[in-house]
Amino acid sequence: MLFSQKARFNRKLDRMRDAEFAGTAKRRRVRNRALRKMMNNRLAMVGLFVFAAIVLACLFAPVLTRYNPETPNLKSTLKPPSLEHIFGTDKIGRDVFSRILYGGRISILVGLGGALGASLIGAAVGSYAGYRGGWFDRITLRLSELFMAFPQLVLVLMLVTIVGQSMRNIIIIFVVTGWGSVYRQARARMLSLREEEYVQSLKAFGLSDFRICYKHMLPNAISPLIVNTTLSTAMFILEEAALSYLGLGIPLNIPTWGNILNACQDMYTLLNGWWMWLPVGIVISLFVMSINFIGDGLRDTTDPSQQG
Amino acid sequence: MEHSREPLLTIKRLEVFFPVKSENLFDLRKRYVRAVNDVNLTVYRGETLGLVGESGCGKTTLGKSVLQLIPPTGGEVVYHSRDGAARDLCKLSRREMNALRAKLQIVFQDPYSSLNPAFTIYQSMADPLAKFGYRTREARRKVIADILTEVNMRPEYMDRYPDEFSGGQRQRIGIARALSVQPELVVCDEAVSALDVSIQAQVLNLLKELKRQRQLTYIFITHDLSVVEYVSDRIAVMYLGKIVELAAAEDLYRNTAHPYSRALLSAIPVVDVDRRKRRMLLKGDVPSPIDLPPGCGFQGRCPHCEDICRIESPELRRFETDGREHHVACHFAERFLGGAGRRGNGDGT
Amino acid sequence: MENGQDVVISVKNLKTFFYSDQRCNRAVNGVSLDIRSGRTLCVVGESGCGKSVTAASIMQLLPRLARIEEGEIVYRTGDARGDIRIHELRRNGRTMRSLRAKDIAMIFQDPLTALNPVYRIGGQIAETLLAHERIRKKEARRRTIDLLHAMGIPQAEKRADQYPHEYSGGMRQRAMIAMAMSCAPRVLLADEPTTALDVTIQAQIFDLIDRLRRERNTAVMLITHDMGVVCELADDVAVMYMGNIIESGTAREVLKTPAHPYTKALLKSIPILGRGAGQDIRPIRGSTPDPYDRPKGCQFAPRCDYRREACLALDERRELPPEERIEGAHMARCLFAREVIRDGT
Repeated sequence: MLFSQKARFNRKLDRMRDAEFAGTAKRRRVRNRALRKMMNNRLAMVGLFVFAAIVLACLFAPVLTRYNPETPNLKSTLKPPSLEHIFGTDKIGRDVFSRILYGGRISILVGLGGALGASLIGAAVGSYAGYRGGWFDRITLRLSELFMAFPQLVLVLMLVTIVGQSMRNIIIIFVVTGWGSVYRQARARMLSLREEEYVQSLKAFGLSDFRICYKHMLPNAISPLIVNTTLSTAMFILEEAALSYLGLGIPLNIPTWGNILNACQDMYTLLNGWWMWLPVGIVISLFVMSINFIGDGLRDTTDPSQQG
Repeated sequence: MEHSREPLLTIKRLEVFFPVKSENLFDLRKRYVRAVNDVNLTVYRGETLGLVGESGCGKTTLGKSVLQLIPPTGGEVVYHSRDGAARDLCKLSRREMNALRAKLQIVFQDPYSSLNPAFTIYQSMADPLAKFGYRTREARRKVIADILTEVNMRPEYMDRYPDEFSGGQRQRIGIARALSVQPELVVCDEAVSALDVSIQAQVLNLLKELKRQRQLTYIFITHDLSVVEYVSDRIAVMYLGKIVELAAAEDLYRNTAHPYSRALLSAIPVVDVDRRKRRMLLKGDVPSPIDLPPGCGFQGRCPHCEDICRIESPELRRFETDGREHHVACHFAERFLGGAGRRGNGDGT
Repeated sequence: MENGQDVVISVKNLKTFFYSDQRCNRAVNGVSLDIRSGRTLCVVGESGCGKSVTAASIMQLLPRLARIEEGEIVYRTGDARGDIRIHELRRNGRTMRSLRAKDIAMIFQDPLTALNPVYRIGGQIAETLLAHERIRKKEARRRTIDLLHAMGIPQAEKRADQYPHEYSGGMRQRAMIAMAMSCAPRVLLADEPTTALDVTIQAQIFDLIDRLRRERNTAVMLITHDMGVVCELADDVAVMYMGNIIESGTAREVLKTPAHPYTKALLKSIPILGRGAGQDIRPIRGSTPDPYDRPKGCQFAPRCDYRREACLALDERRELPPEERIEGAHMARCLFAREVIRDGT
């Protein structure tokens, strides 16, 4: 530690010690220690704020903009940002700001839906596999490896060709390619938890495996899975953007962040129509970064060396 | 301490072998860890049977395999219930065994992992109670309140989380949990080993008191010979998966027969400044229970080892001292049991 | 001129506090002790009393959120370096690092986690030697094998090239002692070295430590919770409770004529081998207080049979009972120490 950092650290400890001796060591304002650790992480708090701002904005889209994201208005195409159109209009006169807001809904939904679906399936299967072992574990392990080993883009291409493009199908694809890593995490956690004595005690009472695994053990395994879910959400949003950009994601007529980018793929737009791609790009980056910061903060809550 | 001569459990030729993977592809032999190796034992109703030995001797495996928590690979464990029926637990189906589990309970060693950190005490104890007949929430809360009071804890503690309790308190909760379903037999698997010395006394006295009040039978597993002497009626000493000596507590300490038991007793530091013991120091380490040579398991370390010990494994033979049974597994047991008049100090000297 | 009983490490009024959760835990709250050459000092106490923290403070091996607040730890080198004030040194500075293993060595409770599982035992011991002495690798290897042999590890040549997982628990502990003694330190701090080992192996290890102490005149500080071990091995005893030494003296003085109610109650609460099932063991009333919610005066008062008016006065002044000198080195922090002795056991 740097000298000045060390001095600050020592002064902080001095304050704690003096407060303790004076009997004024406060009953903490926030009772939950995990919450306090998270609040200590400034980046995580910033991330939470940005995340909430974007989500709320997308939710309250009808309040924030009066334009319909899908209606073309050929009288005002390619207009740069102005008081009327905050982010300008695109090639066929649609308001970019409203497209970002409404598109955000879809993107976030797809990202969140995919992450939640993958986590639910991965956690359900992984928990039981880790707890029980045996043939179920062996089979599901190989299955998860199969899905994880497949290059994802190839899988997406195949699935999109077979089942077609729609929001539901994209979510399904994300779940299918994403459950493997959650499965492994849940399984690993269960492998260590099953040696705990309270588990053996439940077996000594003859309780059923399902009850022991899902009711008693899973609550102890859940926090790393929650962290994973937040990070997966970010990842899936990026993937949706990439897929839509390539034309493989959500059908092009529905606005999503990726689809907006898709329409900007030519040199003219890139050079002259910056308002069509830059704001979307920034929003995507901000959103994904904020989720990552939140995920880091959540990880901090379980770190014992953090001062909480 | 008097106990009935009514058997509660009859254990015959019990074996628990764990297969070991061979170290290389070419080693085709099937090798096993013989954790419990041909154990014959009767547990009488109302007694406390102490099971002692060092790590790896198989005592914990024996305790758990009797309850079928670790499935035995051979032998039988016959449970004699109060209504006279005698059933071999090893042969029961899972459902039949589960129905009996209320009668055969276990208390674990580590107070910090024996309670689910995510659940309140009530939540941890509710499911087992629901399974064994307490269908309503009120009924369960009443039972839990009663049993917590019996272990000297306040009933309102049932709505707290484990991390609000100390090690000794958690252990008492574990005992309460085991007793909530009215068992007949309780296996105490190193139940006091992880506690501070002064708390051990609390829990030991509590266990004794509960046994008296509820007419329980205990199998008390521990590595601490001073503790086991305090609680047990009879004691079995285990080494490498076998019982090498089984006797009434007093007899074990004053008339120790097996060379391993004597070494064990002599290794224990005595709480008396004036007596620095002459120790019987054993050479070498406890051998691994995988590739056991033929003959007695103690051969490498026994100061009295002779040729026959390397060839033939000694049987657990029955002797009588003052009208009480004393079983020893040694070819030269008679030599060590000594005649009348030879009484030791109870600590190996 | 050094006689066998010189004080090598002198700790005066040591206070080490732990910080977490916006609270401050006074883990060690004013501890003074002396570690003497050729003698074994046993520090006894139950969990949470601060005995391990004391040893960690001497070695400056405290976690990040802990620090030595007050007091001094002085190491008398007996050579050109003079007296080194350990509490003033930087934790990982050059001086402190040069002291570790070469002057003061420490062995820990769990040998499995104290040895690095991915390096060979011989290599780990040789590394310590090479770090502190100016010798070549070959010489280091030769000395490693000699050390392992001296610690009673059979086939030392072969064993030096093995990994920790190939050793049994007792052997690992011996390897750790070999590593600790490799540079012939003047002080050995042993933190519950045999708690994780079997009783028969424990006997061997204590035999080894005692032999080393006699042969090399090492000063040994042994931390334990096992009173039996104290009776057998200790020359001097310090009993700790809630961060303070509440009684100290020679082993005979403290164990035969305990002067503090806690020591007495502790001795009465353990089952003694050979006394049978009928012995009267009395648990100590109540339980160890929450370190964040301590009693105001004497820390043992709520559980004490000798509690009187005078103890309440201490509560009000928020003071600990003063050190009461009884005879020679025998000290107890109790207002009624002499009465406790008179009452016998």
